[in-house]
Amino acid sequence: MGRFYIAILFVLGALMATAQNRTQITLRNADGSAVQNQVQKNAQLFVNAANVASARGKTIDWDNIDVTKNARERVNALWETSVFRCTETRLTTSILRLPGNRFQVRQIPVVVVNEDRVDQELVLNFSAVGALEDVYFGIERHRYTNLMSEGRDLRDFRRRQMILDFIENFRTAYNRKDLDMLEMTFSENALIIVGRVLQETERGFDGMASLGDRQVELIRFNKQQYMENLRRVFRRNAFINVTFDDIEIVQHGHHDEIYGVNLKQTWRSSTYGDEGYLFLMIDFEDEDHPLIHVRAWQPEKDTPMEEVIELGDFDIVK
Amino acid sequence: MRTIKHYIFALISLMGIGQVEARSCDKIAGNPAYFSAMATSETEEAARLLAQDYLINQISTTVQTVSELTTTEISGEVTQDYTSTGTNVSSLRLKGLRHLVCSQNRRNNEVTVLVYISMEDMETSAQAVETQVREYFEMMAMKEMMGASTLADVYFAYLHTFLSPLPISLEHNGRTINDAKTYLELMLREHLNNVSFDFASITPGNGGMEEQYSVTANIPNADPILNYHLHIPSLNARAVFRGGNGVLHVFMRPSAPVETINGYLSFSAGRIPAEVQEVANLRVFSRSMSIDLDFSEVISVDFTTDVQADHVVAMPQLAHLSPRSFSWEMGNQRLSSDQILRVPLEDITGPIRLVINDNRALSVSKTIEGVRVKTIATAPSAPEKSMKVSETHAAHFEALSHFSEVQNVLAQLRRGGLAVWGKESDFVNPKTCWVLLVDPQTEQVQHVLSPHHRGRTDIKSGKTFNEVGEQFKGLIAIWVDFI
Repeated sequence: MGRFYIAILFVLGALMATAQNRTQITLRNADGSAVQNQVQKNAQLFVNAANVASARGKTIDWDNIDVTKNARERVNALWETSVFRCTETRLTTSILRLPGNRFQVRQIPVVVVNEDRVDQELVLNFSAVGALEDVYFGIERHRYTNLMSEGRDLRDFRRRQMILDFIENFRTAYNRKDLDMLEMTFSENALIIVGRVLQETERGFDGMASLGDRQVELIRFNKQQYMENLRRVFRRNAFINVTFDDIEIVQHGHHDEIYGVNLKQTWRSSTYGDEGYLFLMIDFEDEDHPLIHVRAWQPEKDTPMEEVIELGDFDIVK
Repeated sequence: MRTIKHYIFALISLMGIGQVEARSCDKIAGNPAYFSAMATSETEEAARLLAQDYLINQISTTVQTVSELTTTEISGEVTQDYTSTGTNVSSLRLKGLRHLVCSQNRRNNEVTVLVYISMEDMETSAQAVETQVREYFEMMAMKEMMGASTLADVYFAYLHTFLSPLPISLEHNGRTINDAKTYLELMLREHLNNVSFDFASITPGNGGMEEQYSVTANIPNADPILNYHLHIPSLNARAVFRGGNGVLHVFMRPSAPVETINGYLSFSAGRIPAEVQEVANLRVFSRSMSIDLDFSEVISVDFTTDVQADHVVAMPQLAHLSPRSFSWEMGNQRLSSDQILRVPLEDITGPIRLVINDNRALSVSKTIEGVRVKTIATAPSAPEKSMKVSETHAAHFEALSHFSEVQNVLAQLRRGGLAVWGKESDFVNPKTCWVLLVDPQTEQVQHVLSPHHRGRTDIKSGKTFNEVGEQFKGLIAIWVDFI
């Protein structure tokens, strides 16, 4: 009899834990079509699976979730460093259309349960048949909306969607220590610039050492050197959390497919943290595989705004 | 021989073509499958352009009055703009426009040309525009889902509708829109009509630029993507409000605390697509609006007095004000309308009031006792009506010095049903009350504070206090509300 009670308590406990971790997702603008119903169902299943896995300290149970192999691998890799759970029990958001009849569900608030407990917004991408095909951390909602508002026509709007998609995926690649994705993202001849602060000590007229302005030296790396550095950083850190703010998108005046993206990057990891201006020159010649030709980082504190690297600083020869 | 043959062949060909074209003209002109128009002029080119104008005029049914015509032709694609005497504009984009020479009278130097377009080509032209407009609607729908601003897209879609020779109907958010142009125009008008301004401050310039005012304002319901343009033609002033914020620089001298200026509000949406730039130039959305600029914070009215032997000379001291008239008064008596008052000392029996521009809100009152001058009330910022009322009310309290006098005055007011009094907490809106402050030890009336309007003015000292607070601690406050 006693064993029976224990069993009942155990089952009840498990049910309560499940109920507490349940998020009900409503897509306010879903049209009721089979594919959009599938998107809603998969979004909810995935978020709830993440909630349960986070609460139990386990990996995500992919049973019943229609997910691509690629997405499953990426989420599993992300889970290694960034375990998250949704903070809402009832969530109403929108379903957005992506190029290629794909879908996106944004603005799913999650808390990343690692040492930092960072609030993030999850972005879920779905294929044309409603299968989950990518998961990443989105940029701040207001900023995203503003950048998309600036879309001038459908083409520009789509491009912006792709750029933000790319940027969000790019930043999440650091979270999941995805060297392969980063390696693919940089063109073979990519120019990597990293700013290093120099402490300028000049001798004053009285012969005393005086602390002058701190200057930033720009160091050039090639792709191999940069990837090697990154590999070491990934090895050293249990978690890496990268966030992007103040994103500006500029299309090149002559080369429509070239975009310059300026943003403020905050890097937090187990061993190190910094804030800096990041510039990316992205080439959308192959829209399915955009390439980064230039990545430049400059420390925020010691770089005046007029010295921030931007698209206009480069002559593009194609 | 070969050359002669060539000429004969050419002549026959030409005659043949002429006949065929004349027949074709008749055929096309009478065929309901074509829209056509014919024109005669001295040259083929002139006749063609004229016929083209007629045709487009005929197709366009949206414009009643045509006062100006401009035609641009870009490789067979014709854009025609109509500007009415009002603001109506119709611009058409027609692909597949063709022409035929119907007759050529060399003797009279006349060429008749038929310009035509098939229904099919017209529908294709409309379709091309419709596709663009649909794309804008598609983008608008997606932006709406994101909660992003769509007004710039509404504007661009609207401009594109002018390129279509046929009305555009489409589905949007589950609704059928029969005429996209009207639908979009309504959205834009509604937005513009709802735009309002909050004026934060008016700052006068300095260093000889006192008449230039910087008016800082914001539009609380501004669209983040649109720029708003405020144009005040009478002051030749323009301001652009980006992100809802802007500064209007006006060069003027106010003659009243609140000056109403009339202007126009329009908007722009950044880079306009090249194909609709011309339409945008002709089709400016604007709304006329009246704006009340409140200068009461910067205007000041005062006068100085100088006792010279048996006369008092009073001179106005005005700041940021354009005086049109001066009125020196004592009670109900008007002493002078000159700029400088000169009055025998013995004639002064009460406070002297200077009123500028016949506006009670621009007045100041002072008592002159021998050589001692006491400002009674300075309230250039108070509205005219309330000044008149408060002035009458002030008269009840001006001479009060002892608590016994207060009791008498209040008793009279109550008997006449003119006022009630009590503690601050007795009144729903104590701001409208006068406050009499009496020293309990000496029973002397220390302060008589006017109702609260940008502070309370003590008619005894001329000083202004924001609230009845700490500085009056220990005094008995009697709150009087006039009914």
